[in-house]
Amino acid sequence: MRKILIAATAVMLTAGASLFGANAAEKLKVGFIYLGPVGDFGWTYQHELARQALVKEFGDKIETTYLENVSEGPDAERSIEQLVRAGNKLIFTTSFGYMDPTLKVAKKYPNVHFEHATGFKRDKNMSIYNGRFYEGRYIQGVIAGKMSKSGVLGYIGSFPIPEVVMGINATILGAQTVNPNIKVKIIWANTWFDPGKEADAAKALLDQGADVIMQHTDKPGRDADRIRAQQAGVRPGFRNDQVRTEGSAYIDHGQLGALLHRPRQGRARWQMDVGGHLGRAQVENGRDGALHQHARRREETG
Amino acid sequence: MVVMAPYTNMPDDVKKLAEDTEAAITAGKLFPFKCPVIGQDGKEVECKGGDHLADGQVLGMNFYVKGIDDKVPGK
Repeated sequence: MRKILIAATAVMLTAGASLFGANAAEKLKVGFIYLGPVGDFGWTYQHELARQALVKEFGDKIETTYLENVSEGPDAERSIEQLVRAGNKLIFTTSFGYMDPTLKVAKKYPNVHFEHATGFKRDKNMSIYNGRFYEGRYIQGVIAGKMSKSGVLGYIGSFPIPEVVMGINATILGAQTVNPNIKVKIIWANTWFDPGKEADAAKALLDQGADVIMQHTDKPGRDADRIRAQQAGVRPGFRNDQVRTEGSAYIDHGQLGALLHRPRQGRARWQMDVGGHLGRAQVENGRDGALHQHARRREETG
Repeated sequence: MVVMAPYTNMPDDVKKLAEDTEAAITAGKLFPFKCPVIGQDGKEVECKGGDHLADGQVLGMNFYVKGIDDKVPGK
């Protein structure tokens, strides 16, 4: 998420000209809306690191504040407005599901600037930012290319939209650097979340000779994971949720889970297990922290 | 660069390669879509970002690169 940090800094630099200009003596107040508690790993934590970096960079020129555990969807409006009323002139809404609420509040307060993470709607005073997830997929392609014995990678896609297509391309380009003849078999689930379909896709990919399976769907297809794990000699797809859900049943866990970042439309949920730190920290430390519980709660109520 | 999980469950040489790749991307020395990017038809994709595809080209990507033996659905 360093890119987000950089993006945020860049925003400050560009927005700063107008925002600071109004009254140089007045501090710019910057607000953040967080999906989860800050915790010490995960999506919200990475944003918190970005906020801290801003403080470090701009010192007493700015004043920052954040609201944690803000549900996505219409309820978020109240929290965003709360930040506006508190005098924040630059507000970061850090998850996909805040898109429409942010837009609504932005229209209401044209003199406040908004930065929304991972969305696609913009307005005069509302911008968007995102991470270059395809860079991570390129690295995973390098790993997969090295690890695959059959030379066939399996890829479960959600929908053939640019975000997913770029990930597939980045994966094979990475893999080609270590195995020029690497193949990738693609199956479209045509859904962001359907464990049954994911499992079917995983089976089909195994039948086609794939020995590393990756996916760009929404959430752990646990049945699919289970099937992969049951196949002797098959490396399950790299996803952190394997660690989280089944612990030692999955000997291979790793990077790809980091990249499951498509939100389920219009539904509140834990999002973006960036870096895969979530599951790993839980399992390795044998604890069940607030963030994890929060994530699970969201999944259950999602 | 997005934050990567620790590189575990892989041989040391693969781990090293992954780390080196990450370092190169972070340093701005390696671009996944560095030019020439070759499309499935064997032709170079127009390079609008200097030595790599421009962000706009990546954000609107609707083609597969060479080596993928499949078709983008709907195309």
